[in-house]
Amino acid sequence: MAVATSYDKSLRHGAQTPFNDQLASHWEGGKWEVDGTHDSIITAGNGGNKPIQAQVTLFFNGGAGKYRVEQVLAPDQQLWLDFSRLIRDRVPDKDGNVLPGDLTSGTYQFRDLTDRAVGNIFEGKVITDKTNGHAAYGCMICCGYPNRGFIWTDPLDVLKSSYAPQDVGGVNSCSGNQDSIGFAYPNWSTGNTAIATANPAQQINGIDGGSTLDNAGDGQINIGDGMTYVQQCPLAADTTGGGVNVRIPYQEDRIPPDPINGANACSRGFAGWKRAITGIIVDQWNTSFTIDGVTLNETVSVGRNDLVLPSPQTGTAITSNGGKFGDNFFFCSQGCPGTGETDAVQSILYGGTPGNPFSGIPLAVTNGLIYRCSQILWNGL
Amino acid sequence: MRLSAFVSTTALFCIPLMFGQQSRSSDIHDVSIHAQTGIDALLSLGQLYNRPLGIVGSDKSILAPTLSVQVSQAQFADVLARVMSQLSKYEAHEVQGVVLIQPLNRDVATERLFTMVLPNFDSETKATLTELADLLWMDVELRVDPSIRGFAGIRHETDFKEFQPIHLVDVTVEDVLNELVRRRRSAAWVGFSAPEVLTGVQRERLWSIVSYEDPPVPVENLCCLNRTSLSAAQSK
Repeated sequence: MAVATSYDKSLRHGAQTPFNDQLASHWEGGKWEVDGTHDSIITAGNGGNKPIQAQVTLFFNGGAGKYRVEQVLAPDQQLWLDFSRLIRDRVPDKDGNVLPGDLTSGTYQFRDLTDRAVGNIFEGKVITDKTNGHAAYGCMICCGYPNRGFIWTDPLDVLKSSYAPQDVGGVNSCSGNQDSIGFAYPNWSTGNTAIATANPAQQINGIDGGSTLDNAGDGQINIGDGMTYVQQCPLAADTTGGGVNVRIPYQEDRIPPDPINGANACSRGFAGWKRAITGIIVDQWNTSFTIDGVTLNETVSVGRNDLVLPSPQTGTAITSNGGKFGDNFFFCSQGCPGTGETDAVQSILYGGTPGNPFSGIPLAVTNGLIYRCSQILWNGL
Repeated sequence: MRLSAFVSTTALFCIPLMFGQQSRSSDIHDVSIHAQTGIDALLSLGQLYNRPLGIVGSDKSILAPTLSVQVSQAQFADVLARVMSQLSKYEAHEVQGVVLIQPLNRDVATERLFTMVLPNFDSETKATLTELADLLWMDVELRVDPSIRGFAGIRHETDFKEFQPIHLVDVTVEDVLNELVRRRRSAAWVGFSAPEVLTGVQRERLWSIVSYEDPPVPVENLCCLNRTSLSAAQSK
């Protein structure tokens, strides 16, 4: 570690400045002091090659008080904070808070908000001690991800012809929180590009139904353990991965009992039937799609048509209550009462756009409908 | 024959109890509406105060998401007045318990549809609200094209409460829709700008029935306003 030392002309007031040569995204600092005989000046610098958003947080009153400063630092630029001036001049922080006038000590923390996984911040601190004519300083500890990264969603379900975000998580050695660090892994891939692709990074695209793996590769993450000193803040290569299931909207399952099944109200000279089905869409593994708010564009196309019903009939259902939706088929015909029947096929497009009856993913299986004067059969039931 | 009490926007501000009979403590609510369309704001009010509404949304200004109301402990009429003051091309009046909101100037096709007189409206079986709205559609279609021999469709209502048979004589389309939501009370009908030719038009293109929830839910979760028809009708 580099230490810069200087004294005033009297050689009574001195300062030592430990600048560490490690870069990290998160530094936890030790004690700072400001009183009649002490002052603390800390600095954070950008040791990377791109601008960063640096954040310094001062903790006081046992951690109950926080004072937060954020600043964009260009490469090689430094942020300096003179604690005694912040207190004396009542300089407000980013949230408008000021430090109490009688504050004399606390702790502090640095964060690189731009690049949380690797970090580009170096730090330094000066404590001037006029009592003894020399400086004291405390080292910082490096917060990283010693347990490496883990794939955030495992397995990840993706709809065919759609995509889903993926990420890498890391348990922060200081906070214990799970941080999002997927951006530190530049190379994303899948085990079978006929099923899913990973492009751009952190996005998994469903190509066709099936299961495969996703992989976040060539990551460079800070594995500081949050306990040892700055000399122990290495970067490490890391790769992680998980499973991907690309789901196909396969068919509609009926959820009994039917809410309604009986004679339909018709104009004079007509008679007919109504039957409501509660349905849910399942995938190729017979697992339900439980997402609400999904648009289902439906079309009923008539074949044999003794009852002279219009064709096609279209409708739009929206899933709710865990992916369920209702279809209430009805008809009125001058052919009723009678023995004639109309046969039809119901096709459903999953995840379409409301108002565009041709949008959405077609279910692999259609439903058969038979209209009779006192009965509507759905898939033979 | 319709009994209606027209109340202008100004009058609404001055006579806040004009809509509704007796105010109860349960009729007083805090209302917070921010940047919603007129349709959504009105449906929110209808649901919150449990008031049957009829809305003819044929002027596109009612689809602009610019309506905001913030008021505490207000009665329905007070809030409605604030809403109507932001819908300058619309008027509100009450028709035997149903608050009807419609443009000051309805286009010819829309006027023709909603004032079409039906010699009768008969439901001989018990029927749901949407089923009756479909029956009205079939009656209208038969009136313009008596050669139709069959009707069919798919409804997506979630309100399966059934009404006893209804028999109405010499009524307009608007009268029937008002009667339906009047009987249900916890519902609104929303009519769209009518096409020039009604033959072969699906019911969802002409009007929708919206059933309220208790307790109230976000208006986007109410069944079954056909917003696509609303937008399409106004872009014609």
